[in-house]
Amino acid sequence: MSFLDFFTKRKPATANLAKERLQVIIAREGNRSSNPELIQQIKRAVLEAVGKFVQVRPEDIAIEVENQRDLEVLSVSVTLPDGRSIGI
Amino acid sequence: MSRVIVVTSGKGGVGKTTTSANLSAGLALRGKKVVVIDFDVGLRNLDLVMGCERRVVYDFVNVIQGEATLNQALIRDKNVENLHILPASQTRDKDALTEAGVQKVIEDLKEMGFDYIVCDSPAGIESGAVMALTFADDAIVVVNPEVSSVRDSDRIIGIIQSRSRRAKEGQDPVKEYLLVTRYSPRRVKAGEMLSHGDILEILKVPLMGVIPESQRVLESSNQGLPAVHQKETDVAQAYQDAIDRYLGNDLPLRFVDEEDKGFFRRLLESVGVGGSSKSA
Repeated sequence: MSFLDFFTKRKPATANLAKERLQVIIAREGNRSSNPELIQQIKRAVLEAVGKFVQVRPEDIAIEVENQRDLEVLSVSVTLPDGRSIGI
Repeated sequence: MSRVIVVTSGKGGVGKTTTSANLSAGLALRGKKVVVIDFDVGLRNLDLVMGCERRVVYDFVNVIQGEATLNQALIRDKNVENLHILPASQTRDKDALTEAGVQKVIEDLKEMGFDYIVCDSPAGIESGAVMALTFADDAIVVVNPEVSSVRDSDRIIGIIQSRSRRAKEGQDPVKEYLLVTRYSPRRVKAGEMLSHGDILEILKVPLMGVIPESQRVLESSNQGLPAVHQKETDVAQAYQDAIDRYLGNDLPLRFVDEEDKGFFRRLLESVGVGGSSKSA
């Protein structure tokens, strides 16, 4: 903190941003699932399959593995870019 | 019954060796028989932090390769009774640690009657780090309130849950504990730093303690004397509390809230007059 900073307004808090980014990436990496590499492979396959019909970016695909007691739940969600519709 | 504890983190520089030194010294101060093993082959440093660097004759790799006995390699700590250090080798051969060799050393240490065998893991997720966690009963995951450290902790927890002997043999899982280090209550309050609650929510591992950022840590490594020996300091007390929680005592967290400072103290600190670290 510099002398001037003391009198000026506080900058926006970044800790919340760190928390949100971590929650997303940790859910997506699935480090605690039985096969973390599998998630990357599924992501590539989904990107390729969906890409045949509508253009999506890698960051629009969220693959998460959640442990619920004895079972692992794999969820895949694809956000379509603004202005695109696959017309269902 | 001995417990094997791995102190790990994934990321480097977060405080694994500092924690290993303080945990082992703290347990020994409670009368437990403790040995701490440096698994960082090629980058030995626990000996310096514990102040026994000039007494190293034989090391972990010498024992594994049958060039020395455990009794020859173990260094007795000068400050606490019942604390022994097994230094890492300075060899550049990263494959010097074999799983069978490590297993034999740990079994022999158990037979020698050690209550706690503390394994100070190297950074990363290479063989040395995996070797350090393979035989663990308990894992202390050291994490800084910082994005890369939190993510790497998640990664290493995943590795503990898949690569440890307990996981592979389908026994009870390794018991994990989170230790947040280099914590600055002031920066958390200002919204600049992840809070221990945030980290807990993300990693979902029980909290063993929060160690405040402190100049004492550097000073104690300068001297080769773990901070737990300076009983009046906040770092020593925070480590002692963490050890108490590990041993099953439920204690409230200390040193996680900022004391309210007056206008002038903040003004002085903003121009670098007066330290921002507080000693308890």
